[in-house]
Amino acid sequence: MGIEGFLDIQLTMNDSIISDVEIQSSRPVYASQVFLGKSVNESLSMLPLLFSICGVAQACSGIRACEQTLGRQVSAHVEHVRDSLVDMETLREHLWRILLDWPKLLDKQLLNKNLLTQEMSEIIKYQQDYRNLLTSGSNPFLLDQDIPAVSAESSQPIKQLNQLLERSIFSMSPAQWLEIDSIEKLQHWFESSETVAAHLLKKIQRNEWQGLGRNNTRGLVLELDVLESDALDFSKLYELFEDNNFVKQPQWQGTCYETSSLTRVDSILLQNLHQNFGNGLISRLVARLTEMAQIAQKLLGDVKKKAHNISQKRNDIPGDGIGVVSAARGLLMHHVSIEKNKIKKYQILAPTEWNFHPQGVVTQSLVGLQGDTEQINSQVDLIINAIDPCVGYKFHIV
Amino acid sequence: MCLALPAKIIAIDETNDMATVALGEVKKEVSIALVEDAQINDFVLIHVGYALNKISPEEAERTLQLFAEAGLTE
Repeated sequence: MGIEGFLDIQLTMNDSIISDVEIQSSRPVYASQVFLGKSVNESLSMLPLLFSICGVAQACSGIRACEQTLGRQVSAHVEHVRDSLVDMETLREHLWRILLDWPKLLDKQLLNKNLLTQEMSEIIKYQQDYRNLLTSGSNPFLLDQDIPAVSAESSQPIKQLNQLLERSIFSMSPAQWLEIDSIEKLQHWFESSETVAAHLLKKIQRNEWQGLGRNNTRGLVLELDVLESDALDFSKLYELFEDNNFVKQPQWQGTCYETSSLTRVDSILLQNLHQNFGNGLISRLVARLTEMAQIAQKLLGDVKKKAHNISQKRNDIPGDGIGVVSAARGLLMHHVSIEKNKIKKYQILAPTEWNFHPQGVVTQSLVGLQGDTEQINSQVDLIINAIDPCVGYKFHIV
Repeated sequence: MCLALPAKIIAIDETNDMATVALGEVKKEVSIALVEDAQINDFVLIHVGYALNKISPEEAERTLQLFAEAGLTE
């Protein structure tokens, strides 16, 4: 059943050190070809069906690309609803993967299947309740949809989700956890807590793996107004999309970049971790925990943020647009060309392709690992899961 | 861009919460620990070794048709 594709990773070991990494991908990066010749709304309604794991982010990136292309204006309210639903999906994905994967990454088996089933079902229910309350059955990811004013009750599923986060991840409210601002306080938290997240950080400290996988790969910058060479420049992006290989092995200005929770989340704690351990393992795991707590606060309305849509239409050629969304695993881009309301070209660039580029951040993180085979196996799983926990992969050491 | 595949449960091993699922001619072992009351002939969305949730036969058919159109099931 190879439809979903996977990553085949070969690690070359010399004198107990990983000296070389080769990544081959069979991921179906051209699946969006299915939309060619279809109408815009037909294609948009199919997106979440085809990519159901991050279906909300895919739908959001798709509608933004189409609206840019068609020159449609969208109200701030609709953009706010879209962003909130993408945030909710990111929170669900992070939570699911932590509950599913982190027990397996621990020496002790902490997986309580009955509890896990109950918690994962709860998360789906809160996500559905939230969407229903926010949209009243409308679909904000189709063209020209009116979305009614948000019900005051929409905070109820978020409150329940905050309670679940407190119970299963933080041992305290997400707001309280966000007050942890030093490595010492973080250490005190994970040493005195019994959640799966605390146990994994204990393991990392015990093995002195905090800086594991540290490397110099830079993060993609989302902001258009940032005067940095890394910031995405849409006119150049359009040129890159002309080469179909861009969605398979993307580079920006000839360089590999990372896009993940780590490259977009900020806090004093993360700055301290980065100073001590760079983009090593502990920074990655804490970035994901921080993002979960921050989203939980944001959706409760405790943190006010404007909707964040930096999508752009092409200025030199009409009928071309790019939609951008910060999805759970990183920056997701849809590039679309429309002619007479039919899709002429549809390309999707997922964060996985940036991160698992043959010379990308995963490769850079794995080169230099050292230890016996058992230690290497454990380290590789930890690093890959910390960068992108959603992708199917196999690795072998030669 | 992660795909979740609709597949039909054709056998269940209750001792370890595993099931054999079929997508066309291809069969695969997946965990059904996350799906409440999974039964033979149910359609489930599977992703990285887990059945995530049940879906209706109609939704499974529509999704499989889309995969076929995209050339993913050839």
